[in-house]
Amino acid sequence: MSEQSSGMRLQPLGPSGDLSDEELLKHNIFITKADDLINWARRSSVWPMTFGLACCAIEMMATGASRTDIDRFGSGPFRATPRQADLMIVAGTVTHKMAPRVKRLYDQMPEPKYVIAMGACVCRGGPYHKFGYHVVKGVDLIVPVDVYVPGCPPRPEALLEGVFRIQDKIRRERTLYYDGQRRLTRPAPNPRLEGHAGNWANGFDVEGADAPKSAGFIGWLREFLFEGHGDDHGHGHDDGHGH
Amino acid sequence: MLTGLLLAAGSAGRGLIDLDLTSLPLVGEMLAEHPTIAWPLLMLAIGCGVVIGYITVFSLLAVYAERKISAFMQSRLGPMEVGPYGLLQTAADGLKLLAKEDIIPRDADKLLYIIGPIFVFTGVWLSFVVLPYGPDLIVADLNVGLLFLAAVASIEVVGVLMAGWASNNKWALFGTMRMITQLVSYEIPIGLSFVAVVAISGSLSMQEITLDQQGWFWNWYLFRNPFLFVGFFLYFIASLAETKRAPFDLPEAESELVAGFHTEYTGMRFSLFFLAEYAAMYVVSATAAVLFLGGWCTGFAFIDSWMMESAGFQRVLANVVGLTSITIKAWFLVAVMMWLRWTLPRIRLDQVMYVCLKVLLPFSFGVLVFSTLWELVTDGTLFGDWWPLFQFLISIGGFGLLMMNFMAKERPYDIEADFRPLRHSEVHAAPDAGARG
Amino acid sequence: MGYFGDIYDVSKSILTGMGVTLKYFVNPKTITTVQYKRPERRGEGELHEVPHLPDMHKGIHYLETEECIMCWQCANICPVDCIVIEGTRDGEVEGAYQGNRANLTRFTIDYSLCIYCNLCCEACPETSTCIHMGKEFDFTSYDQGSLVKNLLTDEKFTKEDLRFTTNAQSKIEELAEEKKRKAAEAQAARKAAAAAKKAAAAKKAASTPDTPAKKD
Ligand code: SF4
Ligand code: SF4
Ligand code: SF4
Repeated sequence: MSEQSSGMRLQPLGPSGDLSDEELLKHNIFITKADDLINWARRSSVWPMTFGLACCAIEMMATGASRTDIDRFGSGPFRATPRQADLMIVAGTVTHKMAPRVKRLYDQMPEPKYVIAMGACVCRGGPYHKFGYHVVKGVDLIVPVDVYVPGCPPRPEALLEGVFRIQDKIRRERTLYYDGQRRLTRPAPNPRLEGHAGNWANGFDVEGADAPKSAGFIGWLREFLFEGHGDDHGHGHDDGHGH
Repeated sequence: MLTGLLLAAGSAGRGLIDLDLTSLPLVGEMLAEHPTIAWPLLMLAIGCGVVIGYITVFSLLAVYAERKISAFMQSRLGPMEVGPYGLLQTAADGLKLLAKEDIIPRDADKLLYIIGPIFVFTGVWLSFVVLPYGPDLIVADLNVGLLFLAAVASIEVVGVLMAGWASNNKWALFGTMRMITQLVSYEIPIGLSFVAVVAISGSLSMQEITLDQQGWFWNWYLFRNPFLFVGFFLYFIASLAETKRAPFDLPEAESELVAGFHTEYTGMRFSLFFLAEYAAMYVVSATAAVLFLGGWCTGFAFIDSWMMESAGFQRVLANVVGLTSITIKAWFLVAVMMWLRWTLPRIRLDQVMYVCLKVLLPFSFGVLVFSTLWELVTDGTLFGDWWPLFQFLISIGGFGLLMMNFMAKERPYDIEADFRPLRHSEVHAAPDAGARG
Repeated sequence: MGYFGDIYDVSKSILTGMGVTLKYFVNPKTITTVQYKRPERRGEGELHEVPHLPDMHKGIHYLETEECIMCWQCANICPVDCIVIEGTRDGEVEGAYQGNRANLTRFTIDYSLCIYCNLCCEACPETSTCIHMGKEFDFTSYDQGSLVKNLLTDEKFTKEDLRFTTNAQSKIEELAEEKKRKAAEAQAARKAAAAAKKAAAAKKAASTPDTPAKKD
């Protein structure tokens, strides 16, 4: 056993080492498989939000149309409400007036959520970078962006590539696997937020948008797996981050 | 509820209701006293499980079918990459919804918000109790089956009202108001179609209605008389509105109300609404199949008589045949619903009410009165045993005439008459002399 | 029309519409989807191949480096200032890319700004038309930093490239200094020569006092 397992020894679970190898392996395999399943489901049905701000939105619609059919990859149902969407495709010029709404819509989406910045305007201001007094110079000043799709506008195929990048990103995620540290599924806040431009972006009035969150089924499952019998195995309780 | 009252009045008059709820003791006592009751209870539990499984599987398949149908109608391919030909697409959707974060808005009414989707789902789920699938395949053959169906269908309205009100969201509330307006109005034509069928069958039990349509397919109530033939289409249109399908999908109109009454719902709770909608499609289609298309009867006299007479293993086979028969009929109607959805645009709210109150309502009254009169006059056997066939030919003939009329070559559209460019004198001539001065 | 006429018309138009959708539903020839493949399903050659890409399509730029004379025309005309050119025409820089009488150390386009307007290609002098817009369109990335393309290597602008560019900067400055010094020297030499000439002329003039100087 030890001969075999030494080669494929998996990362130990959490800070505790008192699980036997065999037990650990079982645990890990179950969790890895479950994680794979959840990731497969998530990346196979990334539902975008119906959300177009300017010219790029036309190309986003073209992506959903017959020639490049985004429904082939499971991203067909464009949900109108942020509560049922997984992916926010920010397509078009984000003006200062629209920025609070974009932020609010992002806040209203349930985790896990992803953002595609589509077009030069959203990446860094594009044509409005030099003289656009009214344009936010990149939507990453407001919301964390996962994938940038440059272009003015990008071809529908380029947006498809962006969706593939999102799917690749989901494939690498860990949902149930718990190594003693709480992680956010979204990337760390953009360092640009700390600068001068970030101050006004952080000061948006988003009252009502930060709804109280309950962890849902996954949270329950994670608790069941790690915290429910945490005293024996020591996961999750001695790191100070829990609950 | 109105339907319920109508049906209750109708059936009480005929002495059909003999439910005695006061004698129902507690289940535990019952089990202790009569151990034999355990078997039906077990069957009931198994039935519940089967129904939930069936709803889930049906919804998965129906959503996949809907996405494929819509794709083909729009010159697309639809889901292709998740599983072979995208077959696992809806499974992935369901799993993803399960693993999504569950949000309850801060200002929502928490209790109502939580039980809303459960109510909606329960209402639809209960309807499966009285749907017959074969000679022996029915969870409970209530003698008030149709009344029960109409009653539990109204639970959905309550659930939607709870969900929309508790969300504390204006779009949800608007969606709810539209939904309730629509559902309550369309229950009247539906109820009247029910009554027209009940007037002929003389029973509210779904199984008896089915048995009454045995034999050749011209015995089906669809062809029972020319008026019931119209009644079927009235029921079908009204059931589109009952299940919020296009062109009556105003409660979920994305262009004006974000997502209607489930705007605030995420993940699992949203998928309950989703499941309920597709299950409701199945329920109304299966009801239409039972009421008008002979239910689990196959439409061939020799098979039907074999199904009734068979015993032992053949009986099992007969049940399977019946299950296949009603499933094909119901799924066909579901497919037609999808076909309609991807053909027609959404209509306005006033048009929805116009269709209900000014078209469907008088027509279904007419259907009720005239089909009953027809039954009274012909007495089911005007020209002997072959009368049902004559009736079938009459219905089909009328329908064929209408179709031929539709197909007839039209007078070419005269664009000159409608959009004649104004003459110079008409443009510049003032309507009255005073305006010029 | 009237009440019944309306009902007749509605039924008819619904059935007509259903006929049209049915025609599309049953006929597979109507499907126009071009199945764009996932990266892992693509073969080696068909990386960014898209059938029906129009001839006029303006995609990611590429540069014929050996033609570039480093005239900054493209960078000047770019409406969003996303072209950055560094290099020198004064001499050799180690590791630099050889242009036409120029040594290029950096030629990047920031695609988070570029609006694909083709002005840079138009502005490039006719004697050395060297910047072009290609057929590729995919420049998606996970972070804003890697939206920059290095046209000299035809790859994304990496950290190594940046390091090289920064290091080369001192060499370029050195070269510029040297050039300046040389120019100054040359000028000084010229000046000295001119002064010597003048002095010689003045001497000559002094030696012949009877001829008055015209300009003084
Ligand atoms: S990037 Fe170009 S196409 Fe897209 S919104 Fe901005 S200006 Fe329009
Ligand atoms: S295409 Fe236009 S925006 Fe892009 S680099 Fe050239 S000049 Fe600049
Ligand atoms: S305009 Fe042409 S030659 Fe001049 S620097 Fe740009 S690419 Fe080089």
